Amino acid sequence: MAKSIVLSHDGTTSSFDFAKITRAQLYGRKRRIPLGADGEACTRVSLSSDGSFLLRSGMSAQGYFDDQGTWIPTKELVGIDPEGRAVAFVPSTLGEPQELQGPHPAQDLLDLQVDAVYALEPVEAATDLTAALDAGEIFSFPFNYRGDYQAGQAFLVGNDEGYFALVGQTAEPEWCVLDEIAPPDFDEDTEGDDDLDFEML
Amino acid sequence: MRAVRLTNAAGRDTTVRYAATRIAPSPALGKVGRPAQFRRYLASDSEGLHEALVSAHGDDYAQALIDGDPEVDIERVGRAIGQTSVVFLSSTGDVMHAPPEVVEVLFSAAGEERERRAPKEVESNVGADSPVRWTGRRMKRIDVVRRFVLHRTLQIYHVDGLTFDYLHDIAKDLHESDEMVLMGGGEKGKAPLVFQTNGTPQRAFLEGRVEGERFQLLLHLSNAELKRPEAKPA
Repeated sequence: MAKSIVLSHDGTTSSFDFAKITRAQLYGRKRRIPLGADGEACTRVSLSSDGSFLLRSGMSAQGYFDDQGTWIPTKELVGIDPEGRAVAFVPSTLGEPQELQGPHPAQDLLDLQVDAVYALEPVEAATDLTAALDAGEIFSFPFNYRGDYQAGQAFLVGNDEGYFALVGQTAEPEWCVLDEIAPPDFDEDTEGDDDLDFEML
Repeated sequence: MRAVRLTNAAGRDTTVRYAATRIAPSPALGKVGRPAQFRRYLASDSEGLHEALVSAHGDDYAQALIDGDPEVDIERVGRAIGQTSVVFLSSTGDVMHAPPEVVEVLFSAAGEERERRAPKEVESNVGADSPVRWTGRRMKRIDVVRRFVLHRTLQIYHVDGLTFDYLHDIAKDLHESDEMVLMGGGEKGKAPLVFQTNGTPQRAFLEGRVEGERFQLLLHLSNAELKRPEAKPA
């Protein structure tokens, strides 16, 4: 069974089971399927640039190689900072008590670039904490689903639907001042109330 | 940065620029003092795939793999894969020389197929001819973050002194009321924003922050509410 999210707040510990929520689970999804002349689904494959082979599913793999072209086993890889120094390993936070920070203003959560949303199910939750969440307070805690080289952050939020953890990394918007006008850069990547219709999206 | 036409509460629009807010990049992986490159490589040719091995050696081909490594073509396996082109194979495995027809399949939240139809093209509604409009629908910041998943943020930048004042006024208004305003696209200005053809439609909430003469104006994008999936019927 997956480990729980364990949180410490004002000297008490609460734990939550969690399940990832995707947009498809809420609203469904669309999929485009290519069809051949016979009306049957066809398969998308890749042709190598020299035309020498067709890459079907299962024919490629990926990994790290040194400058001699030698494969580096995953267990030997470490995180490297821009100066080439090793970065400390950040273990998984699951099952380990994490200190809650906050309450935070909404602005702090607005700065989070959300990668994942989890629905939380209280296993053993302190009433002070659930009361604060029900009243609209927001807390944060360190979150790493699995150990890696970058610490993640999660915000704990409650609403009429229950409790949620929004996980991601925090962005820092720039302050705009009168005499600093950002130049155009056409390489920039620009993707992407109850009666707001999210079904239509 | 890209240009966007942005409308204020009075219905006046101007052209400004926007860019996605950035987070610190993840640390690269490698070995200390030994730079590493991430590469995709050929792990097997078509004779090494499961179906080909079954037809050559039968269902239980494990011993054949141990004895003779038939899945490894020593001349090809391990080759780096660079640029590739997309090719479609018909149901019989032949290369198609004409583009396939495409059908769009809609699945319900429970994962069941609901409809098949010709693909619907979704046109962009953000651009020089399509302002992002102020709907007037304002919500407290705390209410927005508790109701919607805001997964991406675009920062709005001024392009000259006039647009600095224009954006600063919007940011100040929203900052002082601690509110965000829903922005919309399309003719009526209420549709979700689509930044590129067939891109995902997004609800957009404008947030402002002000510190003296400097400001931040942020367009937060959402394509989902913060809620639980409905329980699947047993």
